[in-house]
Amino acid sequence: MIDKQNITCDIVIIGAGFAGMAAAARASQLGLKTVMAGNSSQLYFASGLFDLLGVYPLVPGTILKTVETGLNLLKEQSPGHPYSKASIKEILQSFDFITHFLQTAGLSYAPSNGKNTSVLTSAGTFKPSFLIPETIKKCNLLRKSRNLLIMDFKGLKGFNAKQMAAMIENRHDTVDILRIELFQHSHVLSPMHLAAMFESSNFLKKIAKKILPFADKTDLMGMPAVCGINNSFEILTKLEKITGIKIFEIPMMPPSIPGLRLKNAFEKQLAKNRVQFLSQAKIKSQEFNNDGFILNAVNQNMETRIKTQGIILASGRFQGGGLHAKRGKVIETIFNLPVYQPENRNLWHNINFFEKQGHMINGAGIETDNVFRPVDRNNSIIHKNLYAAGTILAHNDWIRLKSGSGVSALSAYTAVNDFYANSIKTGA
Amino acid sequence: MFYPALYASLLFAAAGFLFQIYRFNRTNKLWQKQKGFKFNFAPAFFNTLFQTKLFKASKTRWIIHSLVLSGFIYLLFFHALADLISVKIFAYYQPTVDPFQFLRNVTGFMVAMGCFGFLLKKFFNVRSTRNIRGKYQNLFSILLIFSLIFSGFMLEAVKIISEPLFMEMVEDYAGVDEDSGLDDLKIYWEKNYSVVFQNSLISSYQSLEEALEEGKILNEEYCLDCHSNISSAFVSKALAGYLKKTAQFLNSSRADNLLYHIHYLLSFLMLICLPFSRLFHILLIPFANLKPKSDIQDFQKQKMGFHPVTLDACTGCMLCSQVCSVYPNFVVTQNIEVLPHAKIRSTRKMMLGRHLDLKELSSLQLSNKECTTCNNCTNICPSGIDLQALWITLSKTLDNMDLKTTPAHGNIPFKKEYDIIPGSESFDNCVQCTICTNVCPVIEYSSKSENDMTPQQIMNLLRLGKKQMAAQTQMVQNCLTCYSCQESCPGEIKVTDIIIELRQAVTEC
Repeated sequence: MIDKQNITCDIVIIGAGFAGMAAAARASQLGLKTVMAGNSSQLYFASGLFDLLGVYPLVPGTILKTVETGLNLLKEQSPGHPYSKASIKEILQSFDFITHFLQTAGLSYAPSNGKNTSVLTSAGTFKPSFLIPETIKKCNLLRKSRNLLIMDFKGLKGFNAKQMAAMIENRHDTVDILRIELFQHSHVLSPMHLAAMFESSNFLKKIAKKILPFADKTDLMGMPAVCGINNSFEILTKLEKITGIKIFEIPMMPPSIPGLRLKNAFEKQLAKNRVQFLSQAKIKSQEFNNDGFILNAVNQNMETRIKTQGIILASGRFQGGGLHAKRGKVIETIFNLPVYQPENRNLWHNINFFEKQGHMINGAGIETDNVFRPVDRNNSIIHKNLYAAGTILAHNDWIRLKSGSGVSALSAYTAVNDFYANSIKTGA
Repeated sequence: MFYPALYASLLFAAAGFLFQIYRFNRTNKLWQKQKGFKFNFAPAFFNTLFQTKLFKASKTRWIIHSLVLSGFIYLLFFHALADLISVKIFAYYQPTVDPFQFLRNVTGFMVAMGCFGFLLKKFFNVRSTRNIRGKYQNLFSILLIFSLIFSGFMLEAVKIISEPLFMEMVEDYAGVDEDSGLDDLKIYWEKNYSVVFQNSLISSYQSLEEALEEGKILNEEYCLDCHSNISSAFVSKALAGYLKKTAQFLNSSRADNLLYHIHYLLSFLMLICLPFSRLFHILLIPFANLKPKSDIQDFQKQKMGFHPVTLDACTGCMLCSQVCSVYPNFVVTQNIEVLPHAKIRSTRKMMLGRHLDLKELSSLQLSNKECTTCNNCTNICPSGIDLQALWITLSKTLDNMDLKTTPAHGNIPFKKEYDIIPGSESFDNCVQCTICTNVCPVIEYSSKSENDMTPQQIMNLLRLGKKQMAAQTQMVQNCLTCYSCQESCPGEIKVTDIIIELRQAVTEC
């Protein structure tokens, strides 16, 4: 049985990843009647860290310290990159908006002062990131720390304190390891179940008891990012208070708890702002004319006909389903928009995986004008109210540049602002 | 006096046994009986005598239980039935001679410690049974055993300090009187055998050393053949030490006679109570273990049945509820009726012909439908009850009663052709991100009852084309179909629908 319903709204956001959430946040804040269609579970893959530009120029083994110098160089060298469509001020503004939005939902991020921070990862390596959650922030004390303690849990996959200690032990006087065994029978411990346990104060006391013997000989402790789901920072502070040790979280492999926190915070605040969410909905068909769009969204038990003024296409790349790789070429799945891509399949990838120039397929995507409206081959826009945001944009090798969140935030923020300005102009 | 009482209580016990079987069989027409007989002698023997299943399930419980069982078996055969057994085997048998005196104390102590362990576990060990701890159903049986053992020790202790008993024995067996050294023997026994005399001679006697020497010779001559040193009766000796202060009163009132009667009365009481208390499980566990365990194929071929009387082999240990796959369901809904131990309680009531109203019956029916037929309960049950067969028979019985509580939407018909599993494109999006496993409540609570595979692993098996292997996993049976995994899957894979289809595939083939 499939029910049917009709919705009329100002703007539809297709995709519920970081870009989609950012667009919905801005649109709902501006008072637009917003509908979201997509699968927010993709945020389980997010690390919870916001990268703006981690590496530039692309020299292996280097980290960009001050973001502004890198951005200036990037704008000079690759004019097609989404960052080249905006000023540095606008880029930072879009981040400010998102952190402020998340702050109201109870998820706080540490201010950055325009500099990247090196975050310790669960592999024992360091990764540059621009904005980091408060729970991870204290990892910048690592440089001063002499006696480090790393806690891990038996059965928690992808997080091994011993391995991490081996990677970083030459930076400290001592690196102690605390391995906690929760269950004797079970050999697998799921991060989400563990994070849910941290919400109980009894469990927290139990953990603190195990940490206490190290309190005298250690000045900083790292633990997997599982310190509670909803009030993570409060729980971490509580644990710090009991043990007297400064503690920071270390982001882990998916499903990542900081990603879950991000998802929960967005969903909570968007629900408050009355954004209508069509969970796991797929856009089956669409038609548009000068006045607007009509979309047909289908999910498990509902077929929804949406009449809307504007659309933000934030459907992601191959993993999210926004782009689809056919044998000969890459296509865009919903509007069949022209996709900028290498001429033939042989050029998609280099032979070497770690090739310095990267792979050309990673630069493929939708080309847009300065306010992120998709354009055709003649550089004229497809529709005045159709925008694209996030990783679907072309000339955006975000994995290598470490610029994923920044591009998503900037494009979503700019696109919604532009749509809002237009709709005021036309008096709608 | 002794034998008539013994026969009377034996008769009582036998009648009680028959009555219990009659009570269960009265309702038997409702319960499908097993067709054809097949016996498993080896497990019945080993599980009855050594509790092999209990050993696998819980080591502490096994230790406690073995203490009581082994101690009690010795006491039953070599102490209670001494006239029939011990005397025939050992020509020199006397209850007060080592090693019998020592062994009696050891085994009595073992049983007492076991009972104490039972009680400790009942009162303090809440965590092992989580929050489903029941009432103290076994308390009566445990206290009965404990008081029997305690009265035995008291009897021995009172006999040790008894002056009248000493005098009787001297009269009967030792040809000594005041002239030929009775005082010496008295002193020797007061010192070495803890007898308490009205007028203590040790303090007033002049040549103590001499008297002890004399007493020792007399003791060797008349007493030592039947009375080993009481230090081997370590429990009774300690008790006797405590009783010394009240010895005068106990001796003059002949407390030994009273305790003697109490001890016998308790033994008979235990015999009579055997079919009416939890002690009944002693007789029924061998019976429950004789029957081979049935599987789901047996049931479909109408081969399986459940013998109601085996339900009395249940000791109320609640291990079944701790490993039950439906436990997460109980945690969320707090409906205790979904757990095996609660269902056993209701079923017993029903079988014994007690009236259950429609509400109770339909609640039992709905709760029983939650069973995922994972067989965990049958596998762990230390009494070897075929619980899985019970749930299926119970379900049929309740369905036949026409309670009209079946859900409004009825049974959803399943196509023979499965439309989700065969398509490999169903799993194209799976990147093994483990989110389905992370949100799964079954996995979250599976630290106790082992779950073989996680949802994400099942998806991977299917992606590799190993449908048969995936269908045979425990996870498919344990799934609560809560749809958390399907709702959270970033790849939008129909995880729950697939698992339901797999489960259907197992039961239909």
